[in-house]
Amino acid sequence: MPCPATVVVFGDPRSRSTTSGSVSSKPATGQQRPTTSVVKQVSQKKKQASVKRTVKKKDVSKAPVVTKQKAQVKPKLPAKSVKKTQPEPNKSIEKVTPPVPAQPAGEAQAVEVNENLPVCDAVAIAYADARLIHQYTVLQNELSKYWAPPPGMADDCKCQLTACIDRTGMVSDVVVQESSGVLIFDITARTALFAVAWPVWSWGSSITITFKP
Amino acid sequence: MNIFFACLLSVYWLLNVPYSCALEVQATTRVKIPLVCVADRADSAMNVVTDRLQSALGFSGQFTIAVEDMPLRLTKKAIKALYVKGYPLALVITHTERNKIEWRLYDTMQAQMIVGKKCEKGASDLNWWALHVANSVWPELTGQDGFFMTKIAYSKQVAGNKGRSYRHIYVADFDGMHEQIVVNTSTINIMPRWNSDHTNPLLFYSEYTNDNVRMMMVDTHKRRKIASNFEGINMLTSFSSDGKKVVYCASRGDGNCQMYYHENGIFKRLLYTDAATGKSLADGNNISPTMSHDGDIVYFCSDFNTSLPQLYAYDIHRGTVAKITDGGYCTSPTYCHKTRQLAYTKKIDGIMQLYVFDTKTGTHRQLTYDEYTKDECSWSPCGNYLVVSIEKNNRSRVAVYSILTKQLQSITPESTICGYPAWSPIYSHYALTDGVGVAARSVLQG
Repeated sequence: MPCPATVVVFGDPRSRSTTSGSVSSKPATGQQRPTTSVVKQVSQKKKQASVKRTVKKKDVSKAPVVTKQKAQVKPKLPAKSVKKTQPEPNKSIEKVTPPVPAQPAGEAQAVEVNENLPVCDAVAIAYADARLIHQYTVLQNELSKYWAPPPGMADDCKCQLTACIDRTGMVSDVVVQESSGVLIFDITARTALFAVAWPVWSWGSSITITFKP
Repeated sequence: MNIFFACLLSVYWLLNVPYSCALEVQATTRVKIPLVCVADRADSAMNVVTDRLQSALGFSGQFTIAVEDMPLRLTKKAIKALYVKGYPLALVITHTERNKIEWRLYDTMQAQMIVGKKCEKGASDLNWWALHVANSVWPELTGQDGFFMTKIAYSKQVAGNKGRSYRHIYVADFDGMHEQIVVNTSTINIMPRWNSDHTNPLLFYSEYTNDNVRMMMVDTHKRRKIASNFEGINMLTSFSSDGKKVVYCASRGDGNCQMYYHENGIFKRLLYTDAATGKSLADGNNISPTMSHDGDIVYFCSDFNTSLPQLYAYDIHRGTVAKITDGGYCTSPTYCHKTRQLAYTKKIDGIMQLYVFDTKTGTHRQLTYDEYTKDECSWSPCGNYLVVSIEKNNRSRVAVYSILTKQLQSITPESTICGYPAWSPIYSHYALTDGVGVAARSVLQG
């Protein structure tokens, strides 16, 4: 069941900035984002001399934060990939963030990263999810207005119905996916499906709903 | 070109592939289900049947029942018209032959018959017919056993000669309708209890005499026999599900009530001594024994170990006693053979309230919180109702508490004084007829 609280956070315009902020993931104080030159240095070192696996692992673990592009690199992989691709250094190895001496926190390292950020896919997905969750919650609330089972139903009693909604927003068919075994319970659930005003986004779709007492 | 077709296909897919999602909805309110009984109102017998059916099904608190006259032709259109009126379900009852009745349950939205049955009139009264229909349609509607053919026995105070008052034993339907007298001697008759023989219903009760309080039994022909006639008090029988084991209490002139167990001709007193306190059952009163479904455990109320009465469980095979309640004033345990729960009364702020103890989980739950003092209680065979004696301002009545709806509704009028209710098991047939003669013979005493 989607959490309404999540919807509020995502649906709130103020909280959108929060969302994008969390995805851009600014480095923590004291931790520095690696610059391109540092990455190149690392790759050159790899060409020159064999790098100990243990050192690499340590480096990776110490890597503070990676950008969205760099996030594709799995932090634990480089150690293995180094061994395999020693003759031709892999791009993924280049993206590994080595330990960087701490710089003053005031320096705008994060600004540089933000400038490079494209419209983040993750943010887009989050928006889509949030909108979907919001829609579901609205529909859920609407359904709960009409869903009124008879008194005295057992707590474990539930039924699952699929409502096929046509392009005019009317219920064209109801399929019982899982009966509760109690006729009046199933009938009441079906009545709720026919009573509710289906939102436009649900038109032409089929929605499976689990009814609980 | 390819890109164009790809885009076209994507658009087509987006437009035509149905979107599907899954949701879960929790109810916030409860509403009674509207159900319509359709019958020929011109038929006087059907009028009686539908009226009784209306009150019987409505008693559960789960339905609102309306009665509609049968249309000339019961077409699909006519049934769908009932859906438009707000009835998702319709019960159509027809009087096919003189002694036959047929009912059909319809899903009015689809105008489809869900289930239908024919039943033959087994008794002379129309009340039986209506309850029989209710009993057979109930499992289809709710998925639970019907309780409409069961009876409730209770003791009612009646005025006698010279300012005396007696107590008679009455039997009524599950909702207090169609009250019939079973024992009307000029004595005090209390604490009726039913046996568990489904083909041979018997009612045990205690009768005050000049010498003792003896235990009597009465059959459906109102023929009475002595069941136990020890000195002192003989009362409160309880049977196992198969009816082969029975326990009851008697004082036998000792002063304190003790429990006696009877199985396969063996009659014994239940004994136990608490190793920690050194006190035995003989040190207190042990009353209201109620037997578990298998007859292995006897739940009872006793004050042998504490100043206030508590509930205990006696293991018949081991001869051990386990305390169930801890503190308070707890009385009148009654065991439900179906749900394996123990209902009892406990004093809360000076008022006896109903409680339930789950023998499987070992948890206690308070059921009632109202101002009525509850006394004796008894389970319905389906385990969804409790019949209980309620008292306020020194007037006691019999009421039914619904576990499902949490409602308490009185089934005897306020003008009468009734108590000691007992709910019958499901008998294959229970019809009272006037018998002749009284055979006095001790049954349990041997």
